[in-house]
Amino acid sequence: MKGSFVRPNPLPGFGPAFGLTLTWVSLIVLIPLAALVVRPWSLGIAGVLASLGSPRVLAALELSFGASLGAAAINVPLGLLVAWVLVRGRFPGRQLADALVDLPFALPTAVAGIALTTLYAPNGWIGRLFAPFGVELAYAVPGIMVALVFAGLPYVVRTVQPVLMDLPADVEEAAATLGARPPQILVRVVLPAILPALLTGFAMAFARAVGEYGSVIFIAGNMPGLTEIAPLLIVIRLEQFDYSGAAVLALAMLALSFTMLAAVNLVQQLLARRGG
Amino acid sequence: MSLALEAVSKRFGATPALYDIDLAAGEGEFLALLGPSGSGKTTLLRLIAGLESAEAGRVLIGGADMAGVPARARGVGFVFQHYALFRHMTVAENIAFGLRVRPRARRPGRADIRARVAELLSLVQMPELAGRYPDQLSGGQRQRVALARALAIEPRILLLDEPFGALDPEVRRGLRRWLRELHDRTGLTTVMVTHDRAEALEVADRVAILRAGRVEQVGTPAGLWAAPANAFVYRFIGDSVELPCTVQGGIARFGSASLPEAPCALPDGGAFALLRPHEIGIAAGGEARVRAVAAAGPAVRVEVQAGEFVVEALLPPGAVPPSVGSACRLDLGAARFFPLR
Repeated sequence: MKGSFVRPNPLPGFGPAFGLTLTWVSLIVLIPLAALVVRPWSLGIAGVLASLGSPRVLAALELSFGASLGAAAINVPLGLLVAWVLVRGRFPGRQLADALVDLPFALPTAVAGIALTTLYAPNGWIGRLFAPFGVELAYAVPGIMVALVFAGLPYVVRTVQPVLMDLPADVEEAAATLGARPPQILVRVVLPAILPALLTGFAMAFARAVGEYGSVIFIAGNMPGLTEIAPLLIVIRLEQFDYSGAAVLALAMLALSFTMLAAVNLVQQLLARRGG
Repeated sequence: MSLALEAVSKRFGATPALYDIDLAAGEGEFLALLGPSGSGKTTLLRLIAGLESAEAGRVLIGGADMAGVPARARGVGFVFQHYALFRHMTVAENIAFGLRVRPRARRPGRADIRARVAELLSLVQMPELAGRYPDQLSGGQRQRVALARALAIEPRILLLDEPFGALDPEVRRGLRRWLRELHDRTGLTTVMVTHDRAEALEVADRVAILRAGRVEQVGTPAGLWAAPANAFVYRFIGDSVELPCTVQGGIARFGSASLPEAPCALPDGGAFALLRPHEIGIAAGGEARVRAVAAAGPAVRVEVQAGEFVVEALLPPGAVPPSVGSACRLDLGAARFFPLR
């Protein structure tokens, strides 16, 4: 294969298609990201480290990634449950429920944020139930989690749903005839089969949550060091014309997100090699 | 262990699937359920396994009524048409599954499970493939793993749903013979569903022929061949030639001068004759004409034009084939007559 990295392929036009893809990916993804990687170093290495090490930045990063991981972790069982009900259930309004799952995709995030804030504020329908016990939902970390769970749910449902649909019923029946009880069938047969899809759903819900901005800023309260998420801090830096400071934070988010997604990918490859 | 079905009926919604089925398999018997698709044979097998429930009637395994007993407690080994192997488990893990999910009190120790798996792997003749995943196996190998997995739980009866349905004809034939040997060695009562008559007649001790949710006839392969109960059974278990006729005063006439009359015990009216191609005799001279001769293979196949009918006959080995275009007459003495409707 010397001199060519394109294997013979019956599909024509691979060359132009490859070139177009490369150009497109460069314009849309690579060049903006490269700018992001280059920009902060005008501060010098010490400046970058100092900017990253400030308590406000660290708190924002911790909140963004911690809450996103938490929300994705909540979305996995929740989304699995929803997908399970939608795939296996036969109830009136199933198709309506199926369509509703996509709403967080379509709703402007600010609308979602305002709606959730109204519900979860101390005088809202749901917040009111918790207020007497001194539990604050809106303007606190739980509120942020609610917004992130809302944004990420459809990703888990939509990745798991087709896999569940394709899961042949005879595998579960085989397990039953071999003496397995329903919980054993779920844990030993069904979950391993959908684990790769669950992981993908987790990764996507996590990625979405890290980038979520519009809905969170309404419900979070945005107190620096407490309920201020990293994307908001970036915007604040920009408004103060601190472009390098904003870029430092953005670069940190990029690196962290990339590491996490790469880790999920690695686990999936290990699973795939296992024959799953 | 013995198996009995008593007056079992099943419907899916408004469509009845099985009507009033009575069927039994004795201890150690190999019973085949043979029928075209849609005849209810797979439903019947799933009823026995407890994967479906009957509207009426009883399923007895070893004399005990299985009503209300879930599939997991019936002690049946079920081999699915598409194997239904656990793709994320190795061959050895698949086979061990039924032992590992037992309640702790009845679960064998690790070493015992390993020994049992090794024993089953050698029984299905693939000891070197213990660490493979199902996706890395051929169809025939997957089927044997599915069988080993079903046998691991030491089932009281073995149920096979179209076990060779998805395999090449050549692989099928080998596995068929192997399955019969396995049955003879384990002595397990076995019920196999198939739509392939050669498979059923070759492997099973007795064959139950199903059509549209009813049992048409149950018998040994030889018994069915010698005495089919009706035209459906006759047609289903072998190649046949069908000729419409009219019966009058104990004589059947075929409405064509080139076909001989034949004695027939049916009452007057419309009827039809069924013959096996090898039972049709051909003699030189007559009103029929030889249309084509195919002499490749163990028997010579002759196509005869008799009036409006084309009759296919098989000559016995060693017979001298007639030449194409020559005049001939047919001997229909072996015909069986069935009334129209």
